[in-house]
Amino acid sequence: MLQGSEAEELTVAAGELQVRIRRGHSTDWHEAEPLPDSGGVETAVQQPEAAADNLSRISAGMVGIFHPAAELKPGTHMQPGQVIGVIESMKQINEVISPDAGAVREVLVEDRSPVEFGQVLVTIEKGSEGHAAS
Amino acid sequence: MPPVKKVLIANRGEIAVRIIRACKEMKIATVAVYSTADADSLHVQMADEAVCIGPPASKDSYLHMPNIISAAIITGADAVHPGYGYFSESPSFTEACESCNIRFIGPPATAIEKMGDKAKAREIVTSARVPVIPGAKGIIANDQDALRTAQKIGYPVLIKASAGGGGRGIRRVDRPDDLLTALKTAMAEAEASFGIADVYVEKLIENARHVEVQILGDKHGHYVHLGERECSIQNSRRQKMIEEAPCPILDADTRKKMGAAAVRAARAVGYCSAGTVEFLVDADKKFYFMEMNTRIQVEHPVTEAVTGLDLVKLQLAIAAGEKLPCTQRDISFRGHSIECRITAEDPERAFQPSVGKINRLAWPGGPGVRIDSHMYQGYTVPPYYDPLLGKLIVWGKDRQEAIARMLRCLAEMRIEGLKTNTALHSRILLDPNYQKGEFNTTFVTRKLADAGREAA
Repeated sequence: MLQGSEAEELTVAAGELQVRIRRGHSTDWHEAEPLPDSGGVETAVQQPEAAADNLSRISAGMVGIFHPAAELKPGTHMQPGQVIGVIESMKQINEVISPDAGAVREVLVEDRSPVEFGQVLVTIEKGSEGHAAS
Repeated sequence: MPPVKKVLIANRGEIAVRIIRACKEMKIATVAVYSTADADSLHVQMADEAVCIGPPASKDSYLHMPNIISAAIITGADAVHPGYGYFSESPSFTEACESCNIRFIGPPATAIEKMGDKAKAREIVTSARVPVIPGAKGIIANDQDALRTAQKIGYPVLIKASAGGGGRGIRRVDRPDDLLTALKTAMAEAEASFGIADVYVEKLIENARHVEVQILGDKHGHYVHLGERECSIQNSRRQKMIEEAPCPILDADTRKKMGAAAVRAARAVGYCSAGTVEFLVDADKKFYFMEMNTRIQVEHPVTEAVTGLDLVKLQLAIAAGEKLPCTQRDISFRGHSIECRITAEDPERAFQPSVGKINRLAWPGGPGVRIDSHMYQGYTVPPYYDPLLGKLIVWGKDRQEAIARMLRCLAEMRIEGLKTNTALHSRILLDPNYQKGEFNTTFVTRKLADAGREAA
């Protein structure tokens, strides 16, 4: 979201949900290395709160590396419960699930990007038809 | 061992700010982690990078190990500073860092583990010829064992949780008739608070002072002590309020003995980094080992003020494998330092926490004054964490000047928007017994009780 802009920080607020993205002064993110299994990972996604508009914002429920599903492209129709991608954290793969039905509006993070808790990954236009993933 | 290049601070509040400041002066990059409740916190603004690690509840953010370790990995941090509280005394967190090739800025996991088990620590330091409070050798085996031990050491006794700390899991017993009931409650409380029901029995040292010794150790087996801190001014929940260095009643000979005992305790567990050995000092100036805190402490600035050393920078240097820059002979103490913990608590209402927005903030200034805080005007104190707003630290050429300077600072300070304990600090410092250095750990509780009686 901050890519291609001069902004250092961006705050997105929708209803009670507020998400802030901040640019690191250093941008050389390192790739994740395999980690010993801690067994402590609980939730894969934070269910987004109802937004005032028709947009569903799906955010990261944990810190890690995001890998979007292959079919996750703008316009793709998602079903509730469909996997939009995974977050790799501490050697564990945690699925990120779409809570709503609708068409993908925007994929906000690139493949293998580091994500922080609460960072919005994907926006979905609720109810919009879109095209089925092939 | 390569130098530390980027440190993730696995903490919040004033200590996160303190650590970031040390890193900046050493040209080490910093990564802040924060919960959604702390997005506006000063440590997030000051660090070079910041990663949100979870929702407000500590267990889901500052105590969420996978998110913290993942944050270190994705930002390329090569070291983690735990601050105090949270993961600072967790052997499993230390091990998790090391297994991911992230240096833990603190002692080895084995030293944390040995000192974390209070009953085991007692045994270890006893064999290192450190005096301990008379009591049982290890954990209490059964009711008969408890009764026999208490009888032998003499009432009143304290039942303490082996995994305890921070004043929790402690029961006072004055008569044999009450022992078994107290034992049962103490074990249930220990189980509930720490997950381990083990308890041990100690003699209650009445009218004791809480005096602790700061030590430093490097990875090459060198140790020094940096003198003591007097920490007897504690509130009714055994939380420290005012600390000072040196202790007003300690003579040079006792200081030397306590320092040497603290170093022996540290050496006995293979300690390195900064650590604190807590002692009780009785009316006859006899001292007894209480426990060792295997981390940087809240009150470390008073030691910095009288020794001229920067403990956080030394922790970073020790973690990088450097040798201690000084021997015991090089360490001298100059003047007197006092710290007041400014908390969002209402002393009029049993120290109930107070939350809200800081509408106006004016810190004191002038010679010999240091402020360690994460507060700023317009900052909203979140309700999820501890009530420490900041630390006001003064230095003076002697205790008298330090007290006068602290009173002047407390009068200068303006914090508007929530209740603080500032007025109580002034009342304590003005008390003739405090000024004479005549007090023990019951001082604040008694003073508040006296004030209550007068008001009634």
